[in-house]
Amino acid sequence: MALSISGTNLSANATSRENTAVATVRILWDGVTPTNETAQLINLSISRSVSDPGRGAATPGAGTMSSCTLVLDNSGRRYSPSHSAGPLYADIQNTVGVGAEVRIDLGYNDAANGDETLRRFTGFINTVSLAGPGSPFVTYSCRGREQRTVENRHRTTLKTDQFVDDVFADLMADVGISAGQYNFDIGFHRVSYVWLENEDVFRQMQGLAEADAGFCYVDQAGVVQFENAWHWLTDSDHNSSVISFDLDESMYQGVSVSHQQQDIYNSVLVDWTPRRPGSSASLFKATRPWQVEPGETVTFRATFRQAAVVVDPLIAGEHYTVVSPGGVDMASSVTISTTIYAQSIDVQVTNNHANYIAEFRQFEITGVPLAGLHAEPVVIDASDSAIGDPASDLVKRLEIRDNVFIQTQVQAEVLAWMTLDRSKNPRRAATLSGVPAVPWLEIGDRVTVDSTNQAWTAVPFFVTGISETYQANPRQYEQNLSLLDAASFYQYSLNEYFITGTDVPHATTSKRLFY
Amino acid sequence: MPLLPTFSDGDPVSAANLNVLSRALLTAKGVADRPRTPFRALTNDQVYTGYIYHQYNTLSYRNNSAGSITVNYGGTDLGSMLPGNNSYDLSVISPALTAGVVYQVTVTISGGGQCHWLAETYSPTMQQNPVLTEPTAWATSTGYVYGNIVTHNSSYYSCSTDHTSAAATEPGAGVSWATVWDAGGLPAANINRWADNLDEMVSLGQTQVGIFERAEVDQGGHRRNDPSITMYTGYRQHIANRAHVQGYHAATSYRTNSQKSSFTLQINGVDAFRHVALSDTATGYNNAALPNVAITTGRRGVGGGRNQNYAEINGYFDLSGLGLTLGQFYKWELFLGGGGTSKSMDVHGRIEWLAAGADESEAWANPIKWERHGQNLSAANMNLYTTGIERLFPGSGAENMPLYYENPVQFIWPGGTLRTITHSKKFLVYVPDGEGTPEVFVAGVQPYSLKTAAGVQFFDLDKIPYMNYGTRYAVDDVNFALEVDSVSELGL
Repeated sequence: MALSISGTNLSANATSRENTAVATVRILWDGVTPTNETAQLINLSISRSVSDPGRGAATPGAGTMSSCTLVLDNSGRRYSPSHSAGPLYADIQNTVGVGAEVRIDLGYNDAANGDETLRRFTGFINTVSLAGPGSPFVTYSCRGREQRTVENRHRTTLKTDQFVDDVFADLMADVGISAGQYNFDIGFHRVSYVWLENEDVFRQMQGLAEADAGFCYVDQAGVVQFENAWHWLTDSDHNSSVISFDLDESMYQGVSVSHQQQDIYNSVLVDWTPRRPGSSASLFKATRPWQVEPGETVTFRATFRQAAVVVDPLIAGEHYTVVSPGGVDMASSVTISTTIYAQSIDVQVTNNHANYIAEFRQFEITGVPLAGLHAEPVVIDASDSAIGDPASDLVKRLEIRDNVFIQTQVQAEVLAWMTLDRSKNPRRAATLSGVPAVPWLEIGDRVTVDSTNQAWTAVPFFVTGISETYQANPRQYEQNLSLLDAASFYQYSLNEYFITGTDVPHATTSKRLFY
Repeated sequence: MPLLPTFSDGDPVSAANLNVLSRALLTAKGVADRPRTPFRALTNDQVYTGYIYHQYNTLSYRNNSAGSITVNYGGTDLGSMLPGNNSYDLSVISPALTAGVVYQVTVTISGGGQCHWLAETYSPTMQQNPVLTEPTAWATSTGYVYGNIVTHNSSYYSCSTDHTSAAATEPGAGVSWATVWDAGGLPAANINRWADNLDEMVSLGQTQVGIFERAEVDQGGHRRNDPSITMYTGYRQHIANRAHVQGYHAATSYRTNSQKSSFTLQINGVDAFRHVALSDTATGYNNAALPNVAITTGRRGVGGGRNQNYAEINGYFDLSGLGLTLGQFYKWELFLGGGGTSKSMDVHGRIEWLAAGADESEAWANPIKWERHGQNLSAANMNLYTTGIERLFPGSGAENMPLYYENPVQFIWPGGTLRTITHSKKFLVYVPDGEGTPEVFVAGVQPYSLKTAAGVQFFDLDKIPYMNYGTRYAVDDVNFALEVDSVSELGL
């Protein structure tokens, strides 16, 4: 979804040879107030993508973490954490600035409207490099907002039979990201069981997105996005061109084109792992006695080897014995409460006795574990692949394994068919380097490219990667774009698919079903 | 918790998700086929004690007399039953009941009271199923039903309410057209109707039903064309027009092969199923009217110079000719008869399974497998969901059709009756009757003994190595037995 440029002249200025690039850099050093640091800006670069270079195709679920490198002038020691007279000293003396939120807006100056910019990056400073003394500048390496979710190792209760967008919404609430900061399409499948146990949220969301044949990423505004399997088919920014590049025009003369074919496979394997409640079993056994001092409240965490569908209530004499070190029964002197997660439990124990230590012996948690059964493969072969029929020729198989969220055959089949259709024949891919920047461009946007040299006439591509650079002196704003052929991304065009609320059934001439 | 996909306007229809609906339809068929025991009526002036695995807060009953019937549920007196069909509200009990806990229920009958039904029930409302049509030109004075699609003035309209067309409902033009038409093609909401209804029907399979109390009679001694023996009398709600039967009957005699036994199942006093075994094998029965009931007959020596003519029965038969009304309670009676010239004939009969179910030969009952990608979506194929749902639960084509979830109270019956269960849940909850060691019986293997302690007991069936899901087994010396998913559900 391209950013809105309504009310601006950005479209004209971006494609003008006489444009003047502008940038605004704001950093929330104190975590609250944005401080404009544009005056110190030397250069910056921003990168984000949704493709997995290892697979060479836009693969569902994949997305690299957005990043930004910000170089600021530090000749006044403004960013030196040891400079006690510096204006930022109070905020950076201990942190060096790490963790501060960074907001970058880029665009062009308009003769009538002044500076017109759009948000291109929202993230946090990850590392700091101070250079000097000959050329004093500071380099901030920043990560997108997804960094926060990556660092947030989280545990949840067991979520059952939910669509991924519902799971995502739950996870956002769990990590404190409010409704306005995420945007989720409706999910494709229900996922039987989802839980996190001390795992980073964003990586798990990407796994869930892959299981649902969709994409999950964080956009330039820091908004967490989930785009479902048909999003690039039905959304207007993906099925109609956001901008056309005519590489024969003079302003694109500096643009270089790398044109290659993507990897081709004539077979796809997707493993799916069914899960079901197992036999009632011991989920946890303490390896040592737990001791609680008189009058104290202590929380013990017990982590299970597997997630549990049921955790049995704790019963004295059955799940533990509690005595004083001398063996006096203290069951009546302790109170126990529990907080149950999918794969762990917090046991909060209060020893109400005035004098005796309460010692819990043979502490055991029982319940019904969630068993992961053997993985079952779905293998789909393409007899019409450009590299031959696997039944008689070379078998070149793309394998998608180890995604714990692919738990049903339906999930595996949809993912296998979709991946195979996108991999069985050569697919055009291109990199445009040094493109005059288009600040409203977003990942997934459809663009068209004309090029006499490439013999391209309005060839449609999806943008799968954007790397953009801005230099303050002289002002220069360029982008490198990774593009993937859009023409065959889906087997049919939007108007050939059966859309609910629009199309009608017919035995022979109705629109087609999606995967 | 819904299990099925949902569809949204503006999104493409997924073949994979339609295939999930197809599988759900077949699953719902399996749910409808499950054994469901007719409730054995309480008709004597006495105190009956039973147990129930609490799930729903409506305790429905049928009081068929003017006598007095009072109910105590888990120690709380609920008062006297009103005449006819009625219910108690269990949500008013304090402290609140816990779902999944086994409660004791006592019913005190005096003055000739007759309780024909006592069960917790829950009735979600099913929605009207759409009937899609390939679009035709709209015409006035034409009957349209929910789901029909028309073209008019170059636009599509989908019927949202059954009606006969007139000027006022002319799509896009009449003053009240929007009350009976949705503009546009097939609305996602219509597909979701199928999904929602199937969700409820599949969820029905997740709820516990009372185990089937095996009806067995072994009547010895000198029978000769004597009146039939009543093997079982019970009441149940009518939910579908197909009934399954599995069991056998046999007659044993000296010096003659002419003895014959018979089964008769009457519903509401009318023969619903009848089978008579004659003395010869293979050809000695009349099943012409029962094409879907497999019957094997034979003769075998049973020792002491006696021969036994037997018939094994397994299949299903149609109830649609009986004029039964969905949701109404009907009396089910099973009779075992014996006939022939012998003066010393024994008859023996056993029914293990009586269930409502569905016809397996109809088109919808075969998997509707949508192609993975690119298939045309036809009205005929989509309408198989409507057909299937309405075959399984006749009447569900109408708006607000209730779908009954029921959970009968299980009462103590004397005589150590075997209780037959199809294994589908992990744990067995049971209450020993104190007369012997409860045992699990599976054909061909040694019985497995259970704990005999008083009160509600539970047992992890995974501990029995030969117990596979789907295995039919029997439990004896228990007052109550039920499979559940988890021990925690019991609140023990």
